[in-house]
Amino acid sequence: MEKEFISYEQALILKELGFNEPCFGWWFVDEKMLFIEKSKKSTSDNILQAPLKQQVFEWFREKHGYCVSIRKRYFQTDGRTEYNYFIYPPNSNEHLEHNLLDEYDTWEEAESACIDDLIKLVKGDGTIDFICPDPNCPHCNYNE
Amino acid sequence: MNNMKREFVTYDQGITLKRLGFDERCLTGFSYEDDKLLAEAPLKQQVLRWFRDKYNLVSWVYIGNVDRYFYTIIENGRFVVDHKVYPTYEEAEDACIDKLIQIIKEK
Repeated sequence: MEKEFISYEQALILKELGFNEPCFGWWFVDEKMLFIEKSKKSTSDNILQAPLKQQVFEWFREKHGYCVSIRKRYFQTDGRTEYNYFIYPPNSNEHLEHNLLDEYDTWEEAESACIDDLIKLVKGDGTIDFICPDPNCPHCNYNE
Repeated sequence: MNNMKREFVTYDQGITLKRLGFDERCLTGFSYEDDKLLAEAPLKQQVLRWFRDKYNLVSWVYIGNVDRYFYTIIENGRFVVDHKVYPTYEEAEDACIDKLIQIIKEK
């Protein structure tokens, strides 16, 4: 069941960012050992809440207004597939703005990279290009 | 965000998924008041991964505009599109899971 949870390092940063929701798992900080059982909000420095991936996406959506889509792309030319993710900024009246530049071999890699980018956005670290680089992007033209 | 029940598929979806062969270990289960376990209660993320891995059905929810949510399903490279608009992410995700179930039931 470990794969249902975000990484220890991500959880540590999310705690700094204020994530303190009841979770289905927790880490014993000294040993970085994951225990899968329901936990309430964190009350001890030795306990780190272990959020589910979907729980983290909900938190970013509801607390910070960032919505995401992890997607699969097919290349008809050679049958190749790749995964990437779109991040929708809060209250965007535009169609969408997203990060199309990075692509990943698996859904899980894209998901984890997306969480890292959401963390960067909320922390205000670095810059993330929210301008779609594809002038023919069918998604950006969706509402036009 | 404290309602942890929302992390799971609905009871009806869980029972149907069990009939369709979903047998992964889950964090919890659906039960009556007497604590008799009726079925495992899969997480939504677990179910969406199961459809991806077992049936190559890839899906996601996206925003068409503020407060307008849609879902997309790709089955073997072919788009299964539902143009219906949902007012929340959760409703779109829920409808997406129903559609994925329907696709497998019809196979």
